[in-house]
Amino acid sequence: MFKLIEIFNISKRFKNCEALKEVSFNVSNGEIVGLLGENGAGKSTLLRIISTMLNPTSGSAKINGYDLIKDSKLVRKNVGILFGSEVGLYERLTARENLEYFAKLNNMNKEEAKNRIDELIKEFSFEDYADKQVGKLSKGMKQKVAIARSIVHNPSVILFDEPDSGLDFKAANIVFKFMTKCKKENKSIIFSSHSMENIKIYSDRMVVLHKGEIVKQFDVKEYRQKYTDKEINDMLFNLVCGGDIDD
Amino acid sequence: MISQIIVVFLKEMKSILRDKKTFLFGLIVPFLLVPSMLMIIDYSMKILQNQVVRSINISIDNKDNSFYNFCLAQDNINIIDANDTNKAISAYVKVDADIDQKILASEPFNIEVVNANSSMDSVMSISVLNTYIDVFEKEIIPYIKEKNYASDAERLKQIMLKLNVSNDVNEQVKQQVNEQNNSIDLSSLYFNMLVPMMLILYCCNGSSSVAMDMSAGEKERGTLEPLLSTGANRTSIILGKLMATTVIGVLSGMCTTLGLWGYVMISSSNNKIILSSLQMLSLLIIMLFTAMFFAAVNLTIGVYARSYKEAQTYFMPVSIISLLPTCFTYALDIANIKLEYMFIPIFNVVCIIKEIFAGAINYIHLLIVLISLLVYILLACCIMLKMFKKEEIVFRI
Ligand SMILES: Nc1ncnc2c1ncn2[C@@H]1O[C@H](COP(=O)(O)OP(=O)(O)OP(=O)(O)O)[C@@H](O)[C@H]1O
Ligand SMILES: [Mg+2]
Repeated sequence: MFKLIEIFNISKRFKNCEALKEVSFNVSNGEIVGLLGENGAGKSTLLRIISTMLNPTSGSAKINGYDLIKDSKLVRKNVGILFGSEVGLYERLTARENLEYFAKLNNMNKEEAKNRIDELIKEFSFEDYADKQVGKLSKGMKQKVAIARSIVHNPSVILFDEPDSGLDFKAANIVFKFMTKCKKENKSIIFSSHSMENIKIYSDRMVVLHKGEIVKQFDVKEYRQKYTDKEINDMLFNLVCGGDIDD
Repeated sequence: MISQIIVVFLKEMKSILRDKKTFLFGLIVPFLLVPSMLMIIDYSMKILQNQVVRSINISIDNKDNSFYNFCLAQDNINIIDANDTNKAISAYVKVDADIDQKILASEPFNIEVVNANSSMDSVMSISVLNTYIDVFEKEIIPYIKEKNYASDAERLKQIMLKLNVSNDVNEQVKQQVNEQNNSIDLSSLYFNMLVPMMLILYCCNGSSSVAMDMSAGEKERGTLEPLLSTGANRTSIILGKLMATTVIGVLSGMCTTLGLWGYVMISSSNNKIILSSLQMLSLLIIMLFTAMFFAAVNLTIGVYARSYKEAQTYFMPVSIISLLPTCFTYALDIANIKLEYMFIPIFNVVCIIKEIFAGAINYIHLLIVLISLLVYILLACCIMLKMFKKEEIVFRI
């Protein structure tokens, strides 16, 4: 086991708010980390920083050994992102063209890209509509293409921001099955969700953010053995809402 | 890096060309718009002119004088009773009651024309009527004086009718009217204002929707984040997008220019101007640069805006401001174009377009305009690149 993601004291200030305060944690290979937190807790900001789209105000991080700021290009090579459930696709391109575009942007050569795309199309079984324009696909179909798109360059780190939002049970299941598979392939996965249940079921470790701070980090399996479901839920509820529940 | 720019460019082009709307409104419409606009103006002017030559309805306050009889004898003039509300009167004529005595005594007399309304028809009728009055003063008055006819109105009337002056006069008036019509210089309106306006409008608007779509639109649809998280750097991404925007803007500007040229070539209108190949080439080059300038500006707006809608809000004033120079320079004679003007963006383009249409291109001006446009293009690109790399702008909320 080695640490694919190492985060040290990352803080992020926007003009009028402190979105992250000294966040530190590590993710090993083959580990799924679930991020839980209320709206505005800083989940998306954290994932954006790890994928180099935003620069941290202070602190540093290493992804697969590459420094977040100095080697941002190499970091991006190692990171696949999906922000939302079925987004990040170009409607007027076909599913295959979408994948090709991202493969090319990630500097894959033609042969390599073609094999990888065929493999992904097969894996997510969208052979039937691989050559249809994405705009004409249903939400569920798009979701599969979107997942395939996020990993077309075969990254070792996968960042999913609310991949289960707005999806029905079956569609959400596709995402989580995919994450489980990645875990088996020894990738590191961080995903955020508003569903406590999904995080409890699918993550190895849960990181609870509140107003930009990590208020709790624990091994899910361990906790589930130690406590009842209700106890965990109550505890999370208290953490996520900072104890100030109205009723 | 170059290969990444090309990847982005090709993808954007593919995406744009799959959208039939862009194709139609960006290329076909501008190609047809200028010719059809000019054709409609030409056509309606012609109808108006023909109508006026056919006949004009006037009312004269004093009867039984030589001018009244003269008008009565003209086929093209219908004298209508001022109280007759059934017929439309284009002009009222006030004639001195004792005009004949005054003519014979060589005293000054008065024929006053008042237009009935402000319609184009009335205005043109008066211009024709003035031509008749002209003929009356120059040809008929000496005749009246010589023969002393004015003393006998009844006789004058008969002689006027008999003398066949009417035909001669009609011919003469027709000729004068024709000359006048030909000299009504619509080309000044066309080529000083409407056409430059259309050319600039399409250089500017042609690329706006695609520019906004591939910048602010990407933010809105959530495709920007995956794009920025790829191995391609931001400079290549935005340059690829700029290239695609420029191509569409340029095509749009070119289509407008070629549409204009095509019309000028086939038009039989007397408002036409002849564009030599050199003029045409200069026009195309200037349009190319203008389109590039606007592509950079439009993309900059799109990068700054949070959504497509917001981009459109910012684009509105830009598009209006870019049309203002065509209005400011409408009355500007090309002889008065100063060297300083060549440094003001868009204003300089309008000045050069005017020079081209006037067939008086100042190549030093052209060169300065191209260079200064290039500077503005680079400036816009720098601002755009800076903005695209700034997270406060790309992820503005
Ligand atoms: N680009 C930005 N500029 C200014 N403030 C920002 C920006 N992005 C996020 N913020 C602020 O940072 C805080 C954290 O936002 P973030 O989007 O990370 O929350 P989140 O946990 O993802 O919430 P949600 O569950 O609603 O997605 C919020 O207060 C938000 O207003
Ligand atoms: Mg979020």
